[in-house]
Amino acid sequence: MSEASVVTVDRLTVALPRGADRPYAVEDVSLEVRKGEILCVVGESGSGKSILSAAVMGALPRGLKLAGGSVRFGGRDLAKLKGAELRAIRGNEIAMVFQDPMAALNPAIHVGKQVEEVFEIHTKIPAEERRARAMALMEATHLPEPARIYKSYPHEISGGQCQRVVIAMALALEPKLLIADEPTTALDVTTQAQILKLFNELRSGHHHGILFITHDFGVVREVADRVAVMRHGKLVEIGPAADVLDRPKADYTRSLIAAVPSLNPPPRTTDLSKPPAVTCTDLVAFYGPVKALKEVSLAIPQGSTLAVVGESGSGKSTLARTLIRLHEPGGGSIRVGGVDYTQLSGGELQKRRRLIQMIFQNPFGSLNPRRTVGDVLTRAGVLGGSSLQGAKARALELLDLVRLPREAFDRRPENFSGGQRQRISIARALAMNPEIVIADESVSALDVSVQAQVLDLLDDLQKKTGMTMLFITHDLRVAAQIADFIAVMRRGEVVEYGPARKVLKAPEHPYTRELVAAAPGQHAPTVEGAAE
Amino acid sequence: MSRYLLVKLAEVLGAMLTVSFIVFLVLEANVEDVAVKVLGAYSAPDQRQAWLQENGYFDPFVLRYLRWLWNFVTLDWGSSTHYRVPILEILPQRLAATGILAGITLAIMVPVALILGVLAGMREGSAVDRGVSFFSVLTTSIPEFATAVFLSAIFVFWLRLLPGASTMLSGFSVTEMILPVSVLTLYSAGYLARITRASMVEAMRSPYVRTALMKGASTSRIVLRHALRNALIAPVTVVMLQIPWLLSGVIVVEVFFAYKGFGTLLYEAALNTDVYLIEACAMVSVVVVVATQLISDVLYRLLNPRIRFGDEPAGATT
Repeated sequence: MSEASVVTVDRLTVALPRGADRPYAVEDVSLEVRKGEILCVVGESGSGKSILSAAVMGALPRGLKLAGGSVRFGGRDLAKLKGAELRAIRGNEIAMVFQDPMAALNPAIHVGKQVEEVFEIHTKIPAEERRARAMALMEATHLPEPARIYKSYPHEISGGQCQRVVIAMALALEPKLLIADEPTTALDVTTQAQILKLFNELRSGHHHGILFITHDFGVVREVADRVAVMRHGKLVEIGPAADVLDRPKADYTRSLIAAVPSLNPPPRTTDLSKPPAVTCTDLVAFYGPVKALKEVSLAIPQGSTLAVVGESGSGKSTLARTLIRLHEPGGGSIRVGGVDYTQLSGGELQKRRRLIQMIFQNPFGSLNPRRTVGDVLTRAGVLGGSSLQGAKARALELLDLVRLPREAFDRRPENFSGGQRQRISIARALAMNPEIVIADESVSALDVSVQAQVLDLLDDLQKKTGMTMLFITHDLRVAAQIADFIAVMRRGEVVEYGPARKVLKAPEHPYTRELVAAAPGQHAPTVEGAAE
Repeated sequence: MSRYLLVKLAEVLGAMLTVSFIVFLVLEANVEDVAVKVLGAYSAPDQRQAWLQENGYFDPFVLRYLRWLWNFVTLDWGSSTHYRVPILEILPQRLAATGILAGITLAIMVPVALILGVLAGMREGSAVDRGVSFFSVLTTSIPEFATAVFLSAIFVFWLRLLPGASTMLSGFSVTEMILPVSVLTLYSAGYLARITRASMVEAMRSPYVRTALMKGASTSRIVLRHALRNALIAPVTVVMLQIPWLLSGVIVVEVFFAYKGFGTLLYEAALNTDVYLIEACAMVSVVVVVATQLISDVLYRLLNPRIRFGDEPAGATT
């Protein structure tokens, strides 16, 4: 334990309840967070990184039990503290920043009051001073118009502003240890860049030790002084950021880093000279009085991929929904294979809709849990016009195609992991023999290694079937990996549209430039204030 | 807020007009029927014709409806054919009697159910939670006429502690109130407690409660400051739905205990095909239902800042 150590986790082991897929959520993990540094704990879902942070807070979820080891913090073992002692430390000496800032704030209390509450709980500061200090904190986290925000409810301010409020709350009593559990995962990429900048500022300014939990190596590169990689509850590797990121020792770390999509588009061999499979011209869509799509015009050549990139609220999902007429267009035209899609109705629309299939974001919600995979695929095939026998045979072929074992045919979706379910969703879409596939954030819910595989699979399927793909994503890095063309959307408008390489390497619109600059993983943190 | 209230009031008026039209259509569309009901089954046919002629029953239907509606609005509600007195002389006092019964029930039931629900939801799976859930399911699953019989058997016939009828003939009597209130409370408290519990459990699991916990807040602060307000949104709606139920749904209890309230009045009016009284009772019920809905909507918005005054909440109905 070094002098500067804020918290020392020593051989920590947390037991999972009986019947779980492994005996320990966290197994024999030792690490320390030092004053003035950011230690990033990276891992995929199920790696135990969030349980580790909960254990450090002394707040293990129900059913999990400490099975050994200690968490030493200022001479005390946090793992052994109870009730009142823990409460005295929480929010005071250790504070936490959460993943979904909007949900982390009480919807019925003004955000300023929620910052103030920390003083109310831990100090005897009079009300007026509490208010002034809360206001100062909100200013320090760069919230615009703190006086107005103070009197706002969480739903009245943006996600990024909510996260600044949560950070202000965490910093209120100058905690020695700050734990941030995926603090930017729920935020847009430009907002993420600003929050990461704030964390870098904190590191150099406030003399906290920061334990930063994330799944995103791009984020790690932006903020980490040291990195700990976790897998299946165990520590795989720990060391200075430069070593772990650029000269990883463990194979697992190497494969994880290799799977992180880069902003550099790989060379593509798609034939772009074919006629367009979909053309939309001046497409307009409304949500009530709000114009969600403003005269969008795009064309995708047959067999190629267009990635539509934008932040939340940019209209990218509305575009997808309007193209397949889940949402009725308010104007403009959509031509699919020479037919004006907007003029179709009834049976004709049903028939044509089969040619455009969608793969959704959430692989857990989009498959009927009561049907076997075979059922789902066969039904889709029959709806697509095949005979029952033909559809069954095709279903087995599709399982091969998406690289799932044929045994999957008789199982239900619950038996599959997120990545496998997304493969099933892809197979389901392909069972209809579509000409066009719309993938709406189809890899966003997946871990990077799985994400890379699914992207690879989609690319491969496109080559085999010649399908045209519209790929909706918020992540420019993902778009770079799969797209022939990129369209950047903002507030319902396409601000830039062109070949992927050109959009990424020589962006013309200022917003595209901003997005490219905000993609995490391009800048290492400034070294000042790093651990000695 | 005033704009919101105006819109709401317009909706309420629309709902009331619709119901009034249906009531009128059902009860007065067939004029022969009305004459039979008012003059009695043994009246002579020409007597009925004369009565119908005299009371304008041969005018067009819409005109009759409008006249009827105007009379209702101007409080000219006619006379009960069964009691042979103006409706305005009996209905208000019966409504007040039921109001007292419902008021006392609410005053006891709401705090009890909310406290039980909150205690149960605070610690999901605890002994208190299991106890409250068991009690709730038990009381809600026994219909009120059964509870009335059981309670009467115990307190009236066996222990001889309480009177079996609540006629209030010699003025207001607390002892006569106990049984009807207990029956209603037992029946409705369980349901409200369960809704409160579910809502509290959800609040206690929410990320903002975790945030409060990580700020070092004590359990009492977490419950009172953070969870309670958000957890009360659903129960408030339920309470407001229970008020109209208490008004007309208590027929069984009122009849069982011979309590002279609105329920018994409606029951007797229906038994005796007392057309004008049924119409008046139906209209009063509508007023109460829409009024409580209106209050419930306003309270909902006060508790839940995410729904601002002026916006139409998704799926809002009257």
